Amino acid sequence: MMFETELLIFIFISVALIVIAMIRSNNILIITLLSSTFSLFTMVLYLVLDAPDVAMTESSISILAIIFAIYAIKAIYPVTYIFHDPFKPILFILSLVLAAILIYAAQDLPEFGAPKFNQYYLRNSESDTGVISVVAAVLASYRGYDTMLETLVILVGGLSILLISDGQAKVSYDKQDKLVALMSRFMLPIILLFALYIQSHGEISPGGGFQAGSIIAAIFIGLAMACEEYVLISKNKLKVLAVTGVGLYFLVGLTGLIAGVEFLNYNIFFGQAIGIMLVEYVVGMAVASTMILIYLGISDVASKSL
Amino acid sequence: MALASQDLMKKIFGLGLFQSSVLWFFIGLGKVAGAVPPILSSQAVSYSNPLPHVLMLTAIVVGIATLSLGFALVIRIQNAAQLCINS
Amino acid sequence: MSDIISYFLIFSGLVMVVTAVIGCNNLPDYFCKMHAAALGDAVGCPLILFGIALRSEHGLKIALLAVILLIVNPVASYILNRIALHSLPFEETSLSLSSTIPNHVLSVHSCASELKLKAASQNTLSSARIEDQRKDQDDV
Repeated sequence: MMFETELLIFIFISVALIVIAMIRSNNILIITLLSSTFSLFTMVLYLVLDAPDVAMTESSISILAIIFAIYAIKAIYPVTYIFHDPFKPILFILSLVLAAILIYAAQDLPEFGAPKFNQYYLRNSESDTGVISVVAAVLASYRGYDTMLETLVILVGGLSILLISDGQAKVSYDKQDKLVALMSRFMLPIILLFALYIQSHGEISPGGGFQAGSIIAAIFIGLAMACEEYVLISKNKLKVLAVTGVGLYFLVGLTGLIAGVEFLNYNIFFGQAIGIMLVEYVVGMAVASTMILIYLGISDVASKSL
Repeated sequence: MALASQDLMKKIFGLGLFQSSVLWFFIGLGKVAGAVPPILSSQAVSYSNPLPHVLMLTAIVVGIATLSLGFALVIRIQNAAQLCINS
Repeated sequence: MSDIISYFLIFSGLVMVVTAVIGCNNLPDYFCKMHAAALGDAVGCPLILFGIALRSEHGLKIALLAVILLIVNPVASYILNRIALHSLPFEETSLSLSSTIPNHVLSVHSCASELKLKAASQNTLSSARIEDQRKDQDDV
C-alpha cells in the first residue's frame, strides 16, 4: 500500500483528538457521536493493518452498539443530555503514569512489521482444510472450540438481557413514517442478498458468519425502528433460532464423536471444507438472532422506564 | 479517566473505548510490512499473521454483547434510582 | 480516455465534498447546514465512487455501491430534517432568519399584500409550532 506510514500517523493523530474530546466532554450525545467516529477510524486502521475480516466485523457491529446506546440514552436522561462530570487531576496523573509504563514495556516488543511468527497456519492451511482464507480456516477448524464457546457467550449475553426486561420484548408499531418504511422495505432484499454473499464467500475472501449475522440483524433492526410490521419476527422464534444456532454447532462437533474420532473433528464425516462452511452458517444464524433479541430486549427495557 | 466518571453511560463508553484500543494493539502486532491480508493467493509472497485476526474477530462480538448487557443494567439502575428519589 | 474521465469525476467529487464541509461550518443554522451536508452526501460521494469504479477491476460493484448510496442517504437526511422540524424551537430555524430582512428589501421583490401574507404566516407558523410542541409533549 502506498501511503501507509502517513495514513497511520493521520489515523493516530485524529483518534487521539477524538478520544481527548470524548473524555473531556460533558454531553452524552456528543460522546455517542464521537464514539461512532472512533469506530469509523478503527475500521480504516484495521484495513491499513491488513485485517479486512476484522474491519468488516468492527463496522457492522459498532453500528449495532451505537443503536443500543441511543435507546439507553433515551431512557436514562430525562430532561437534558448534559451531565456533571468533575475533573479529577489525580486520575489524569495516574493515566499518564500507566501510559508511560506501557510505552516503556513496549520497547521490548519486536519491530513493527517484522514477520516473526509461526508460519504453520499459512503453510498448511490449504492442504489441511482446503479453504484459502486462512482466517476462516483458523476460526472454524484449528480453533473451533474457541468459536463454539464464544458463540455460547454471545447467546448467554442476549438471553440475560431478556431476563432484565422481564422477557416481554415488544416493539410498538405506531407512529410510522411512510417514506422511511418504504425505503427500509426496499433495502431489505438488497441487504439480505449482500449478507448471503458475505456468508457464503467466507472461505475465499473476507467474510464469514459473524459479519453476515450482524448485517442481517442490522436490516431487521432497521425495519423494526421504522415501525414496519411487514416483516414480523416473533420473539419466541428468535429465541429458538438463537439456541438452535449454538446447538447445531455442538451437533456438528458431535458428528466427529459419532464417527469414532474426537469431538469437533468433522474431517471424517464431511471433509474440512464442508464442515467449515456448515459451522460458518450456523454461527451466522446464531449471531443474527442474538443481535435482534438484544435489540428487542433493550428497546423494551428503555420503553418501560419512560 | 472516562472509566472513573460519575456518569454511568460515560463509563460504559469508556469501557468500549478501552476494549477497542486493546484490539488495536493485538492486530498491530500481527502486521507484516509490505505484505497482504492472510488470504492465500498465487501472487503474494508474504502474508500478515492470521492468528490475532481470528481472536479479535470473536472479541469484538463478545464485546458488544457485554456492552449491551451493561446498557440494560444501567437503564434498570436509573429506574431504581428514580423510584428512590420519587418516594 | 477513461483515465481522464476518472480524474475529472474524482476531482469534481472532491470539490463537492470540500464545498459541503465549508458550507456546513459557516452557515448559520441547522437547516442551512443540512443543505450543505446533503450536497456532499448525494453528489460528492457518488461522483468519487464512479471515478474509482472506472479505474478498478471491481468497477461494477463499486458503481452499484454508489447507486445504493444515492438512494439511501437522502432518506437519512429526510429523517433528521423531519425530527428537527418538530423539535427545534422557532428561534433556531431559518424561518426566523427571514424576519431579519428589512422591509424595504422585501418590498422590492414583492408587493405589500405578500408582505402582509408573510407576516401573517409567520405568526401562524409560530403558533402552529407551539401547538405542535405541546401536542408532541402530550404524546411523549
